Amino acid sequence: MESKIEVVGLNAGFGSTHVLKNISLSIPRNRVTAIIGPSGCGKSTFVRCLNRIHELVPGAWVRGKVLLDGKNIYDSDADPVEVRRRVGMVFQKPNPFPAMSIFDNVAYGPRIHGVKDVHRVVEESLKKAALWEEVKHRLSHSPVSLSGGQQQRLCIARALAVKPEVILFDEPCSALDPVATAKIEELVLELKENYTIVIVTHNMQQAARIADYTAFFLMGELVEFGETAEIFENPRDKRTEDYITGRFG
Amino acid sequence: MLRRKLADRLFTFFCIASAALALIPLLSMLYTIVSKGLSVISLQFLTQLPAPPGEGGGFGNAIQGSFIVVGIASAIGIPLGVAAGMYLAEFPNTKLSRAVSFTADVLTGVPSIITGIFAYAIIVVNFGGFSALAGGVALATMMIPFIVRTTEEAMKLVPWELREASLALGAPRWRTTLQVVLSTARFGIITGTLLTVARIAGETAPLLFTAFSNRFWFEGVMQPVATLPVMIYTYAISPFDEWHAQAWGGALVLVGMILTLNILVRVAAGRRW
Repeated sequence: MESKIEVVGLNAGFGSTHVLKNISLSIPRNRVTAIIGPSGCGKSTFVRCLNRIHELVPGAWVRGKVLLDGKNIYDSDADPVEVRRRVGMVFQKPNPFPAMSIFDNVAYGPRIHGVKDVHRVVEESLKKAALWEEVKHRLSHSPVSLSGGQQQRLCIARALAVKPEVILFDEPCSALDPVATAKIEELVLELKENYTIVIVTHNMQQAARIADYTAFFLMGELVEFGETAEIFENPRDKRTEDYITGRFG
Repeated sequence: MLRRKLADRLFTFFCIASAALALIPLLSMLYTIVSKGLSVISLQFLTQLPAPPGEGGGFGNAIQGSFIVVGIASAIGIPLGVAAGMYLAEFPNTKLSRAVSFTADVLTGVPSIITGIFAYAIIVVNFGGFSALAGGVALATMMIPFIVRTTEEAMKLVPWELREASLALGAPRWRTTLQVVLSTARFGIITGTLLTVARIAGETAPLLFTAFSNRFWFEGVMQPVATLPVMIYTYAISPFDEWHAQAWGGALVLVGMILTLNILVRVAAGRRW
């Protein structure tokens, strides 16, 4: 399996707190990789290291390598702004820009990167995010009027509009009801045709439903990584088995 | 049981009475100004130059001058204050921002007469005498700390997640600050700025020896200029009854302008843009 991202000996934390301990793992291209584990195990910090968002928090630190198409994004000559354009992110809580219209939310990224045909990109992105039909007549409205699920799909459209290669989802459904969750999951499955997807989730059924590969994190360590079916049906590690059978976490 | 009810009643009564008491000075002031000033207000009063006692005249140049001086102060104070507030909100833990923050706190407490002396020493002494510009600088110096604080507070209320969302799209920091944080906070900034403008429009002390006064229309930013507060002061301490009446008229115009600004803020707040 060809890998899109190769993580080698990644350590990260805040100040004196050591959150991620020596993580090495390779994320396959055009597949969905789920990161599961109990709260506080470092799964969010892990994905936030993949697009250099982690380091924005005061006191945060990172050591180790993250190779995107073979090139370390933490090299001194790597540009974090360019890394973030190539590796998009959808957050736990839908966070559309409240002061901008629906259209401007999606157009924000393309405009920053100097895209000429912004209208076409916005329409395309909203269609890919399965939101176009619901908002095409109110593109100038505020995103605040949308439901939580629609806001999250708007955030997905906004991320798609800068044409990333990888999309990180950080518990994208934890604030959504089951119907909205189903829509996002369906969307993730469609998107993997063209994008490499990493999704953090505390919902194991969700991981089982949509992920091709699953990584189990515990207390900042990678316990087990493999094909989802393997992890769920035939875990090699006792701790993985305990977690997925609900004995803790 | 009875005691608790009684205590509750008493406390409620006390709160209502205090609230009513707080309204009395405001209402009686408004009543006095309107009753004494309204009869003076006329087209002539609003548009003509002052005249010697017994010959009528008006406050036209003072109204014009107030707009000009407050305009100059806003042109200097708003951009500087918003920019500094932005810096404090986005880089809160640098040495410079701690120094600016402390200075702003001190500056809000400086008596306005001191601000006037400062502008006198800097502008009036060095640039050929009393001027509209000196008055504007004095008022801007008063505005800046308030605008810095109001901008900082408004921008700090913008959730961190929105900054992350923007940065995660590959937006540089400066665009994130200007297009996401500032635009989300604009409502609070505009409200705070309008209130600050209303607050300084009535300042007298800083203008006494900066803008000074003038009995003619505005003659240029480097010339002395009449303003409503200073004109009211001059007329009120004069020995002429007619001038006293005109001072009330001027007071009514000034209070009317400030009230209008405050009401504008309310209306804007109701609209929630």
